[in-house]
Amino acid sequence: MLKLPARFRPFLLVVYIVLAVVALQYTFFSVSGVRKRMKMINSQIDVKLLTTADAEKDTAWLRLYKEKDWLETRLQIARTDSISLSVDLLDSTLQIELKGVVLKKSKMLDFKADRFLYQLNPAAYHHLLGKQAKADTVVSSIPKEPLIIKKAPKDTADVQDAATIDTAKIEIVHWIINLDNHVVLQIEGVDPASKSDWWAGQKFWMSQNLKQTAQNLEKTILFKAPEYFPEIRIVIPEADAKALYRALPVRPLVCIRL
Amino acid sequence: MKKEEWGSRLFAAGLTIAGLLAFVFWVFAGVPWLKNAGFLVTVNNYHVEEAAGAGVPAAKALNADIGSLKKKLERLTPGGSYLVVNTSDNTFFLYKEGKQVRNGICSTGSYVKLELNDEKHWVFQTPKGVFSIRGKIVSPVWRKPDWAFIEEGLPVPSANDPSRYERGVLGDYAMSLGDGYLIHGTLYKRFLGQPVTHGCIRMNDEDLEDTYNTLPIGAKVFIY
Repeated sequence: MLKLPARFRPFLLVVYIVLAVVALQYTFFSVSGVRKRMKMINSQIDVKLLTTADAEKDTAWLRLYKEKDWLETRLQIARTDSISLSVDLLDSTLQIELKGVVLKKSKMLDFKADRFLYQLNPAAYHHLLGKQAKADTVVSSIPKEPLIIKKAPKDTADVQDAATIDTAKIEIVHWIINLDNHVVLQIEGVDPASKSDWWAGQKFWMSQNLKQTAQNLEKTILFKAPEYFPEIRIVIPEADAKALYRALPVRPLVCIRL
Repeated sequence: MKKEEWGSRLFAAGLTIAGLLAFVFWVFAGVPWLKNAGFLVTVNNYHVEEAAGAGVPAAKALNADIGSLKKKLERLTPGGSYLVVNTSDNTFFLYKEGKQVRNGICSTGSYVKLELNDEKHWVFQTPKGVFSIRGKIVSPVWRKPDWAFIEEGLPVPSANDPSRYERGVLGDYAMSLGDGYLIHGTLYKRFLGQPVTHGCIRMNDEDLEDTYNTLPIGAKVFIY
């Protein structure tokens, strides 16, 4: 049986202690980031005014309350001239709307929302999701406008065939919207028949995850709680994911119903 | 170096790697699970008070509001005919009195950026948003813009030069959306369903005729 020589023991001990301390620190501050976010929402004036303590949830009433929020927000967005995204987790649909007209509806193949969002009381729900949210940043695996640059030909002999446009380009379609209410929407396009690169898709999510984790680690090492962003991950067909993404403006308005 | 020494070193390296892997696993899987576990978050309980002044609307009032909001939203969808064009899939959907009466493939902007020089360029893109039918034309004649000549490597003629006018290339009908954008027919039917146009929307003959007959002037066209 292999024995660890005595001279390696201090080194390993230091490595394990450092890793354990960083892991503990990361765990503690990450969890306190979630708690802090919940506390922050619950301390808002509008949330306090609507919230009363110590009672059971009335699901039928809650459903009506959320339905009203959902319709009001969509109506509010319909007054703008912008194509917007409506995320209906109750009905498992994702749709784009313009002036109140549903342009495209996509049935979700799967979705997962952070439990945090389901733990909001009605007032906190109204505070967070009861009004339109605007995208702060959007990250995508495909370009918004797939521009093909062509230089004007010098003469007729220099003309390229117009039919050479690559329309059957295979590409993975994943995008993330970071909303101004701090909710993160992650859209994953899937198509079992597609020859798109599965690994490229995983790399997209891993790089985003790595970026976020590195930022969080940096904060926790400095004894600060990283900001918590509740996530909603939605899986839709790849063609829909592409059509919806390309249809939306650079900073789209979004409404969400749980 | 002795064989045993190498073994010890490998063993130490293995233990270090195992520790690192455990750390990575905890950071990327354990902590996200814990953050989402819910039991660590203090939930601010509530109850529904329908009494006046509590700030919480009664179920009856909510139902009434929902009914009125739904009606308001429904009224936003045009009651007559309208067209929806998907520039990503190159498909269209024609609606009449709230029902889809026709759908099919079309062609929209190619996203080609034609660069003449550092200052002058054109982007062949179908605009997105809500438009309306501004004019309807039978047997349209195409007045070729400058880019049509530049794209073919030809010299640009004067504004009213006869070479600018071409008959039969836009099909039997055209509907204007403003700013030079048209819904029209095509000679290149094999390209339908692909993004190959200079910004206009091309349809096949039957779809174009039906769309022309269904959409009156002023009808909305939603492009996304």
